[in-house]
Amino acid sequence: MASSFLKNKNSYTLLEVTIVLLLLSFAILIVSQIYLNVINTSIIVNDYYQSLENVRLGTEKLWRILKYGWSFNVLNNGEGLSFQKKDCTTTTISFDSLSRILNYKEENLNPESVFDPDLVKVNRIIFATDTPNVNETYAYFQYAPKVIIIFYDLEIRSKRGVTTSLVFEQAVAPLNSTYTSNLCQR
Amino acid sequence: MKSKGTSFGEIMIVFLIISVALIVFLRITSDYLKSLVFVKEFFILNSLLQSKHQLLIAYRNKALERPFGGETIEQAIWPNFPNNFCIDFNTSTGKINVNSGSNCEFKLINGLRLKYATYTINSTSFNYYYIFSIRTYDRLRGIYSEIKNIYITKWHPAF
Repeated sequence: MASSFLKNKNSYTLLEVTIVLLLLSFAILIVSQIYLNVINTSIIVNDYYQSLENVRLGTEKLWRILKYGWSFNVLNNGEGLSFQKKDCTTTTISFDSLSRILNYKEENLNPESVFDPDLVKVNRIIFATDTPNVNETYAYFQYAPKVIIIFYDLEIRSKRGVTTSLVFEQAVAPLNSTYTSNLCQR
Repeated sequence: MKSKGTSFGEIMIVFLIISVALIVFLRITSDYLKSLVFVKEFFILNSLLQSKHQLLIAYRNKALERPFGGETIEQAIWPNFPNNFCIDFNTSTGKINVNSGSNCEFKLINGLRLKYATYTINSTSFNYYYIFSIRTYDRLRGIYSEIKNIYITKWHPAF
């Protein structure tokens, strides 16, 4: 029986089996590469969502604080802003160009980063306020800035080292800019 | 007679299955990347929408900056908005500019322009208030973001 099995001419030759295995290996390699690419892409996209969410949280926090702020002053040629919070605490937002971080600092407290430094790097930031139409300073609403514009040039990052830029603008019209007197300067 | 090889039909079916699998994989990757682009663009469009909304309020509030005396309150605090207009902020002059027009171009703060994105603001005037609608539009991808029925009073609580 063994001899008849070995003499069976219908079986595959070694070359045929090798070619089939080779083709199968190629197919597995290609499919696994594509599958890995899909997984990688989904991880990168997930990282970007996280980074964008972090940008949204940071900008919303600034928006909310600036909306109720007083006495705004632009610092360092537009790279920072000082103001008083709703509770009249002196607060500064400043750009650290070396570490590319936007810092938020309240009086007597340690500075904290507006965005997560691992997810978002700041390439450039510009703060600007409008100028009043008259020189009168009798009432706060005559000289208070009616709008604060923040220009963001950010780099959002994925943990895999892939980056993309995000350029946008944010404007805040402070509510207190229409008060007759500055409640933080009584 | 028993066939020893694989038929043409069988090979074609195998190719078809492999092709469908490849197309599905590529489609998933492409959809992931597209969704990322769309999320980013919507983020930008929404930020710009909010920015224009705040500029409208600021422009209304600018009317409070007037010398006392000489003008009636109504003249001073009721700004005129055209039906369709563009609003932007000039960093060199520190002024908010309002001009008639539609499909306005975005001029960002440092002179950078977003050529692919435009915006339109419509206003309807009533006795004591305006109703605005703002739409930001991405011409490349055909997507837009919009706020309708923004009520802004012409008068101000300061008076």
